[in-house]
Amino acid sequence: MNYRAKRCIKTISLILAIILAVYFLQEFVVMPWQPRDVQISGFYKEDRDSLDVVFIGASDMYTAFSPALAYDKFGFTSYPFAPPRNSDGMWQLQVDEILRTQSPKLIVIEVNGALYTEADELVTEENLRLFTDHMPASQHKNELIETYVNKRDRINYYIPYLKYHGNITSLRDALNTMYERLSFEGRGGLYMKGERTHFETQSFENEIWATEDDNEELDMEPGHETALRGFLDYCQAKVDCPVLFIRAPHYVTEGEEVTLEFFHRANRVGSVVSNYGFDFINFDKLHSEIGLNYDEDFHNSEHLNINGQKKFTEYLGGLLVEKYGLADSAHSDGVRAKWERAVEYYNEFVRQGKALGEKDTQKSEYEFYEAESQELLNRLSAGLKGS
Amino acid sequence: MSYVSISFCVFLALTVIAYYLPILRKLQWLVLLIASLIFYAFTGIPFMVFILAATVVTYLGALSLDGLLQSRDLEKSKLDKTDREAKKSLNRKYEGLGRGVLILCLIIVFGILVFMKYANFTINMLNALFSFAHVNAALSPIYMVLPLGLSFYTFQAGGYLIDVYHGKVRAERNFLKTLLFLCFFPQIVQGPISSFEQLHPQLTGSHKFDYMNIKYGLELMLWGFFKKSVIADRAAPIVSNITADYLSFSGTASLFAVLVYALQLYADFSGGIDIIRGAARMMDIDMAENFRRPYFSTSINDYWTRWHISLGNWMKNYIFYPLAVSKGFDRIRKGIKNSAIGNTAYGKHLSNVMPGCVATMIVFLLIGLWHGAELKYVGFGLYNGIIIMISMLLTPVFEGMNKALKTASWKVPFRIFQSLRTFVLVAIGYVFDIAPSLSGAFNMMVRSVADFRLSYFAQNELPFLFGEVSAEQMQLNYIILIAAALFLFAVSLVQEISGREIRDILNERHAALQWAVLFAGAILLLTYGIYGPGYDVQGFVYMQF
Repeated sequence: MNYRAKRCIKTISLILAIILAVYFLQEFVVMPWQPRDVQISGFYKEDRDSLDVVFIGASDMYTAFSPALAYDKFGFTSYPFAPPRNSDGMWQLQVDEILRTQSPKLIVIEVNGALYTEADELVTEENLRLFTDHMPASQHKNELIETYVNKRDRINYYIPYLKYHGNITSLRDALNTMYERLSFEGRGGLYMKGERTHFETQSFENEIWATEDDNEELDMEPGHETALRGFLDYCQAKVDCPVLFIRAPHYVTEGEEVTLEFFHRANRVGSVVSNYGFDFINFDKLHSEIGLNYDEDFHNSEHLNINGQKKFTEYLGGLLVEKYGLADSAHSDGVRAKWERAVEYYNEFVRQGKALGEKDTQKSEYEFYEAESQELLNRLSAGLKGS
Repeated sequence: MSYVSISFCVFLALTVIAYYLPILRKLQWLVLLIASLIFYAFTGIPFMVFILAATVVTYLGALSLDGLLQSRDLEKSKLDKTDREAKKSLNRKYEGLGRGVLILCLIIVFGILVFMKYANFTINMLNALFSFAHVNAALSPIYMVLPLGLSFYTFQAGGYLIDVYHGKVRAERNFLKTLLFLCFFPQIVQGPISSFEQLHPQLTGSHKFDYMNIKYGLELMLWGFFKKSVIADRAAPIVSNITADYLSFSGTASLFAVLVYALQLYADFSGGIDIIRGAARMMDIDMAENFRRPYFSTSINDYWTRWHISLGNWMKNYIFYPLAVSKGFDRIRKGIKNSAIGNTAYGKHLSNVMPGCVATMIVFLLIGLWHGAELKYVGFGLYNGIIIMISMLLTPVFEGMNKALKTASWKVPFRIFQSLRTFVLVAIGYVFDIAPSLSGAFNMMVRSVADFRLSYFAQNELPFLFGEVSAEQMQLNYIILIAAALFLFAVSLVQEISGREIRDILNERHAALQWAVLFAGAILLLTYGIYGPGYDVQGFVYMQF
């Protein structure tokens, strides 16, 4: 090999080494890795065409339903593709992504994202980045970026390192994130399939408003209504599987007028959705039928806790089986083995969570990884000091 | 297009590839010209009118001046060699014509600069004068955006015209090549101000691909990005937060701002120049050196031979020397010589240095005005001029003191003392730069001393100078800034002592070490550099000048 070729190979090797190092830092150290990021990344770790039901919504969805418990009780597989503060402006891109990677028998939309009052929450940079940062490269990802991001900023979405490179604030944090991300990759995703929950019940002083027979409707924010109608048109035209719209259980107290407004606006959403011929179930009107108890089953007015989640999962799971025929779903041995492990992990998670007591706010397996990582780093740090 | 951007890196890579394509070997200068015009067009196509106008005047002016010199030489060759009177009269005729053409061209070329940069300054001064004299008149300011690199290419054009006038260089006959000399993209934003003799042959010559040029160029660029992105842009918020409202901070904060500004300015300007020189080097073009570790200077005079060297050289060649040897200045020399003190030792010294002193004051007044059309920059120029003038006038006194203190016997400590003393004097000059106005500069200086509250500053001000960032991020910023500044100092010290470039020293080491250093440097820069969305990437400080 001549001198020039050798130099060429050396230079290319250096450039490749730098690119690989930056890629490693991007994927395992600097990118945000909060529970919501884990939840979205976890969706992409699910085997192709292995999910029977995919839920879209916000925090009130992923805290209300346990996929592992539903599999244990009814035998269908599911995943909440539902990050916090998810808005209706994001639903279409989420459904596109679901249909690209899975062939669900049913898509369930929790309508909280259509109830917000601020129009600018339709597709925020934060919401969009949550998906694009964790989405594997695909034509759909490119389309999303090109649709929602101005030309000048697109490069930052294709190479997230440009935005996140300053996230290394300490060696300990960097090692912690790296451990968590490598653990996630090593485990092949999330054992509990994106579920997050609360083990505590926050007390409330004000009287609970009776909502079961309240059919009053409140106008939606025009931007959200347009987004909702656009999404319904899209579902009619492009989505082959059934789409069910629901309102997960909440409660309204005298002191929280916003929650009453959300409740009345949900009634309005129900009317709009029904007019398009889709099913809508408002579980805020079925508290007694589900058997929810305000003192024991809610974390706060917007979220169920572990007890409420169990009751609601059993209720909704039964309903889905009955109405959409999900029980006889057939999956490969590999997929079944993963879901059986999910059930085991869920049972252990609930046991450990309850053992920690009501004051503890442990919510998902993410916190387990974090605790594990912290313990490891503490040991490492003690070892270094000792030596 | 900022030099610190992915688009610039891609643009540069494409230009370098096109530049070395065998098919374009004879048209390399055209590749550079097209790239330069594209680069310039990114800043705004309307601004191209100014650089094109300057090029037309420079091109025609240089051709005329060159033509006059050729005609003179032709006519001279026809004259009888012994006819000295005829020769003198011929010289006078062509010198007069040449001077007329030169002055006309300089007035047009510099007129654009003066108008764009100083029209509003003049209007403000006149308005202040009207108000002072109770004259009921007010002129409205003119809204203008300064074209990119205006003062840099104007100075290059001026230098070129003067060089042609003196017969130092021949005029370029190709208009496009003259345009390339003025708009060469690496230097257009912040210099260096290159001479025609040094740059033009390189721009128009043919260059073979050489791996070492690419390697050296990339190394220099990497070092420049480090200075700009890791140090300068990280230090920038500290300076801007304090100076934006310095009265609400303690005097210690003002002092701190000046020290950080010294670091920021050097890292910013020299970093930018390293990027520029690196980019040019990749195309086998050596740009003029602009910095030589200025904070190691032993005097202000020495500082100005190490800081913005190309501007200093321009001023020296085209302002200082012509003034110092002019008839008017010679009269000053003779006047002192013939005065009552003319025969004393100090009188002789004075007659020797006084023309230089006056020329220095004029040069620094111009340097001040070059930095900006504000009184504070006039103050900056005068301050530097006065310091140098004092040091020139008192040279015998200082020499006497050195002798008495036997400074030659404690060489290293005295060298350190000289550098520290010079740095303090330079830093005082920077106050004019960062203060909001001339009076503000004096106020900041007074407050730095009269309102010195170190513990108050450390507890209540220091943690908040990066703006709204978390405590963790703030600590990290200070750690990176201090570590990077110490690294920069260590590298500069090695260069100063050894007189060699670090990359030359590195090149003598094992290849694995070289690659490891490059790899680590690139990763550190990509991780701790200020770039990308959410980061306050600053424009180059000298871009505004």
